[in-house]
Amino acid sequence: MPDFQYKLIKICGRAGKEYYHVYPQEPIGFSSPDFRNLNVKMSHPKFSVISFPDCHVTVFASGRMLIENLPADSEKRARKIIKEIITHWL
Amino acid sequence: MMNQDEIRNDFPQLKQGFIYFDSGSTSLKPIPVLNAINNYYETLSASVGRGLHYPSYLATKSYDEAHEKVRKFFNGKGEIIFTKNCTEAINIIAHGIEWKAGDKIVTTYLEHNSNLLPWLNLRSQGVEVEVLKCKIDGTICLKELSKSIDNKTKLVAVTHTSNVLGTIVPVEDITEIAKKKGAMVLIDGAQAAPHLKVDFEAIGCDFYAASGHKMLGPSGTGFLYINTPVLNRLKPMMLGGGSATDVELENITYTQGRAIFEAGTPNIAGGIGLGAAVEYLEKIGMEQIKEHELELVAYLMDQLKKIDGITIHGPRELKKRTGVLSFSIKNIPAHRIAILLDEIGGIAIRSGNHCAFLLCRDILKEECGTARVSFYIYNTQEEIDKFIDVLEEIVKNA
Repeated sequence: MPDFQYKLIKICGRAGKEYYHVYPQEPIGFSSPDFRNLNVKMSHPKFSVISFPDCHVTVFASGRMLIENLPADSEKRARKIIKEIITHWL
Repeated sequence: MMNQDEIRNDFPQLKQGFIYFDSGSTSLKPIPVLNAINNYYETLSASVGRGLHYPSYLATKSYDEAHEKVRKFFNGKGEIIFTKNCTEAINIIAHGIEWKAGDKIVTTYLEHNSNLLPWLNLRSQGVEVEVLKCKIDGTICLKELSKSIDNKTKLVAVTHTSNVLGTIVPVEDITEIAKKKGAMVLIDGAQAAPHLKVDFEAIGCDFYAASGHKMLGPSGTGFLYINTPVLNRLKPMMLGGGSATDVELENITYTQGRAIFEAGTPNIAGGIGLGAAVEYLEKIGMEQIKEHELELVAYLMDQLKKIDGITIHGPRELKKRTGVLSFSIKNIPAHRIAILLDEIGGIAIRSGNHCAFLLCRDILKEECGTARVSFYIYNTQEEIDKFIDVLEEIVKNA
């Protein structure tokens, strides 16, 4: 993953589902992210919502993200998703 | 009259241009509170209740006066203990009462974890905890509550207002019911003390706990009110500096009153800052604060009705609520609403279960919680207009 440093914060764990907040150490700052082969469910000038088989991810131009509704104990999966998004992005 | 511009000028953080609708988590701090903290560190910095030197005298005087300001502000005849937050205040009581197996505590589904976990934890000592369900708008059936309180009930612990729904709980009536049956009463006032005119004598409770940092005071401040008759029946949660007047290996003479519950060097600057916060609130007037917040909530409720797929939680009648409003939007999780409001509009709200899991899951049926707006004296109708614009954009695009 090309130089994307971030802090991963688990913000909710209810009913077997987890949310993760991704805070970039340095904002990426691309105004028009192009996620190529990813399944972009919604595209807005300020954010995109990307659909994965097990979750949705809201992604901002800064690299800040919200990963929604992963199954319990999914930190590894969350990091894999971040890697996939960034690889497609940068 | 409340001058909104003057008030907003007192909150330096607002100059950064964001909209702060998360005062239910912690409030912003006005200049007089910041000045009181600075003044302690610049001119009064010394320990309290320990030194014979003049700086210690001045610091002690200011710190004692801060307790007195809080006591008078809430019309209490008992003792004010300064704590680091409301959670600590409630835990002092959970650890302070001499529990026996078979004792009973009655509490409700409305509670924040701070007024639930300390009681549930006592089940390991054989204490029975009955958690009474509330209605979907957060109201509690007093008949059911009365039925739950029996001769084993040692304590009734209820919130004064719901941190999720803003529902005001009739704590005077609950206290009267509990007292007739011989139970003690603890009120969690974290969401009420900053927003309502609270009168400890009129409520008649034994304990009232609140956060200082939610009522314009510094972070790391809160307080516990203990009515005098029960004061000496409580064990202190911590012992240390200031807890004893004489110590021999086999014989310890403990301090009486407030000091034994504030062991060690306290958060002196924070306490003095809390005193300044109370003075600031008094200057504006609690009735006016309540009126201002309800005007904002009424306006927000009207505006939110325009949003497709919205559910507004809590009572519809204004007289039953404070300036807290939770909502959900179909197919958009609360956390996504919150992060989008922040990124698109620079608007801070709270999302999730608000440390009230039982209420969100079992009563509201919101597994992922709600989005919550919580107002205070510095918020305006113009801010709500911007909030609604951004929310409409989110619903269209998210």
